[in-house]
Order: sequence, then C-alpha cells, then structure tokens
Amino acid sequence: MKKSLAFISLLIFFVGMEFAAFSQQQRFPKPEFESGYAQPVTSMPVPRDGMFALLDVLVLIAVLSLITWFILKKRSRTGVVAVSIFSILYFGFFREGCVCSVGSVQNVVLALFNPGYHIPLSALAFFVIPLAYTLFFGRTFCAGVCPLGAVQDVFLMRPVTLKKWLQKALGLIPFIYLGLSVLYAATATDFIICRYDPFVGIFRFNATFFMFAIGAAFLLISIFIARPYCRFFCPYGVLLNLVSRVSKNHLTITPSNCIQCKLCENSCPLDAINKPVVVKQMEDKRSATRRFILLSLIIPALMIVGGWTGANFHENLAKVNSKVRLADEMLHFDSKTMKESLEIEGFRTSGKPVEQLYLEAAEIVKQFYYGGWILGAFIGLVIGLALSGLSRYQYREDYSPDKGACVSCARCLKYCPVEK
Amino acid sequence: MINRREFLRNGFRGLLLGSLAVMSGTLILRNYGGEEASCDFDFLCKGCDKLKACRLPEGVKFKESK
Repeated sequence: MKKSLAFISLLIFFVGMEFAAFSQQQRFPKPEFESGYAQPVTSMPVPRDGMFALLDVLVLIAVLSLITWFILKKRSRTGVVAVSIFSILYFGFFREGCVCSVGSVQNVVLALFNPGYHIPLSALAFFVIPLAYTLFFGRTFCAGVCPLGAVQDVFLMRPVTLKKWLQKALGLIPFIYLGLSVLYAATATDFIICRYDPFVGIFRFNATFFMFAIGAAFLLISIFIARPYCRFFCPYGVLLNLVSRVSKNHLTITPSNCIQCKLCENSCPLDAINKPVVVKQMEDKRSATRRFILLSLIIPALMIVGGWTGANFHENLAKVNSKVRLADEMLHFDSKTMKESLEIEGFRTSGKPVEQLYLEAAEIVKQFYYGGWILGAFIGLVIGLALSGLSRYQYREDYSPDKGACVSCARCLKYCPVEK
Repeated sequence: MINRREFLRNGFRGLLLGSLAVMSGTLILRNYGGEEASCDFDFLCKGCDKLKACRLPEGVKFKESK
C-alpha cells in the first residue's frame, strides 16, 4: 500500500509540474504591432504543444500499467478508485477530455480514408495503447483510466439490475453509434462522438444547456444503472469488448478454485458475471440442423435488408455534411423570397464556382450511398449475430467474469472468501 | 498442451496485434513521407469562411459586424 501511495503521489507531483508549465504557456497573448501589421488568419485551432501530447501518452501508459497492477496483482478495488479519481482530474478536468480514446476512433478512420489528413501521434497512441492492453489484460482501461467511465463509476450508489432482454436490446446501440461515427469520419463529415460527448462539456465547464442536460441525465442515471454511457453508447467499448474476449490474463473473481459459495453472484452492477450452466441434454440432430439452416439464412437476409434500408437513407445521412447542406441550400435558394444565409454569403465571398460545389457534394452523396449499404449490412450482421447468440450454449462450471462485458472494476473481488 | 480454443485465441491475439502494428506504422510513415497534410476538413477547422460554427476570432468578428 505504501508503494502505491508513493506512486500516486509521484503522479500528482508530475501533474502539478505540468500545470505550472501549462499556465506559463498561456500567459502571453499575441503581440499587437503599432505599424498596423495584422496577424495572419488562423485557419486551424492552435495545436497542442508536442511535449504536452507526449506527456499525455506517457501518463496514459503509466496509469494503465498502475491500474492493471492494482486489478490483476493486488486485486484492490481501492486502488482502482484512486486511479479513477486521478483520471477524472487529469484526463477529464485538466486535459478537458481531449485527446480521448473514445474519440480517437474517428481520427484513425479519417486518416485511413483520407491520406491528406495527418493523424496526431497522440490520437493514434490513445487508440492503439488501450487496445493492446486489453488484448493482454482485459478492459482495465475502462476500469478507471477512461475519464468518461470513471466519472460514471464514482456516481454509482444503488445499482439496479436491468432485465436481460433490455440489456441485449440497448447493447445494440453502441454498434449503430460506432457504424455512424465511422461513416461520418470516413466521409470527412463530422466527429459525432466528440460533438455528442455528454461529459466533455462538464469537464470544460462550457457545455451548452442541451449537452449539460444530457451529461447530467447520464450522471443521474449512473446512480442506479452502472455506466449507462459505457454499456449502451460507447463506440470504443464495442472494440474493447471484442478484443477483451481473447485477452490473455483477464481478471478472475476467485484467486484460486471457485468453491461455488454464490456470494459473488449478484455483486456485479454491470451484470457481467457468468453463472454456472447445467449440462445440456443432447439436442436431436434434425432440430439442430433446422436451427443451423435458419440462422445461416437469417443473417445474410438481415444484412441485405439492412444494407438496402441504409442505402435508402443515404441522402438524409449525407445532409449532416456541411458541403452537401450548402449545395442543397444553394440549389433551393431564391433571392427574391429568401434572405441569404451566412453560409451562402461565405461561399460567395470565397469565389469558388457553384458547379464545383455541386460536383463535390454529388461525390459525397455517392460515398454516403455506398456507406449506407455497408452501415446497414453491418447493423444487420450485428442483429443477426445477437439473435443467433441467444441460442448459443456454453457449458460453465464456475462463476466467471464475462470477458467482453466485464470492465474489471474489481467490485466482485471483495465478495470472494477464497484466499490465494 | 493448449486446447483448440486457446490455440485460436492465441492466433486471433497475434493477428490483432499485428494489424494494430501495421496500421500504426502505415499512418506514422504517411505523416512523415506521404502526401502533404491538407486543411480541407471543414469540421475540424470549422471552415473559417463558412462562418456559422466558427469560434475563431476572425469568424466571430465577421459575425458581429453583420
């Protein structure tokens, strides 16, 4: 415990030093010249200082290693809570929720689809490092390093277990959200995860009323339902869930052999503990074959229906793109009856021919048509797999964490009476 | 002796790790040696001459002068 306290004190000291440097960096405004020289127009937000970005990555690695050690070696819930509080303060309030791993999915997708976009290395690191850790140690990133998860976790007081069917149904939302965010990032339209992040406005103290209300609602729900954003919205959680299923050293409830005392049975607020399953009677071959054929047909059928539906909505999906929206406005603009909007005026002052705008917009709409097909087919596949998963049988003798859904919060550990 | 399930898991883990490494390598190399960075991402730079969502000083000033 002394060692961990020393480590946390070091981290706080580290952050304190950085804060001093940060405040110095912000101290001097741009100079004003008496000769009338005008500062050049800033077309991009001021990039974060390279050293700070590197520091963010180093802190991420340090905190991830520390929490993994707390979970897998020390089996300490207190350690997880301490790291969670640190993450809320550092990645949340001090770093204002940016760069974050959840949003970095979009940077990676944008970089993969648009060679002109150079991804910041910190965004790439924030995407890759938690995935690599999850591959070996389970979702220790979700446990207390992600400020979005940590802030919900500290609010949890009276956990209520949701019905299984409701969890399954709501569990489809992150896949849809992931698909949409990939589509919008790939078409260079918008970063919707960042735009609709419910907590970032709270971390920055500058949320609009609407976003503040959503963030506050999530925090209020978090008092009763564990991590609603992580379970039912987080797109990065989808990737971590899939990767965690093959993790090498995942958290175990018992440090030795399970004695089936059932004390941990209801300890997980996320309902992520698999209970023992009785041996199933052998299904007769005919009904098993029929079920297999039905499932083999239903998944491609759902994918085709989903793809077709997605493609039919492509024009609506494309309207989020500013170029498409502007082209649409220009097309329907009537100077006699309508007042020119700021966007139209901005476009006219840029001197670009309107035909070029229409061509570019048409190209984007075409991308959305193909994207709509892929998104719809993906959603169909997810629904199909979820349906087929309902009939999947897996024999289990002991109580064990559901490696995909478990966020390694370590709450269940204190319920286990078995000593090492 | 590892069982079939463990063998598949190991294979999948290696594949994922390899894919992450290749993807990261490609993106990093592209940053240094590939196409030049373009600023044509309106939603990132808030498209300063399109104005509505622009919070940069120039955009704010223009909107105020309207």
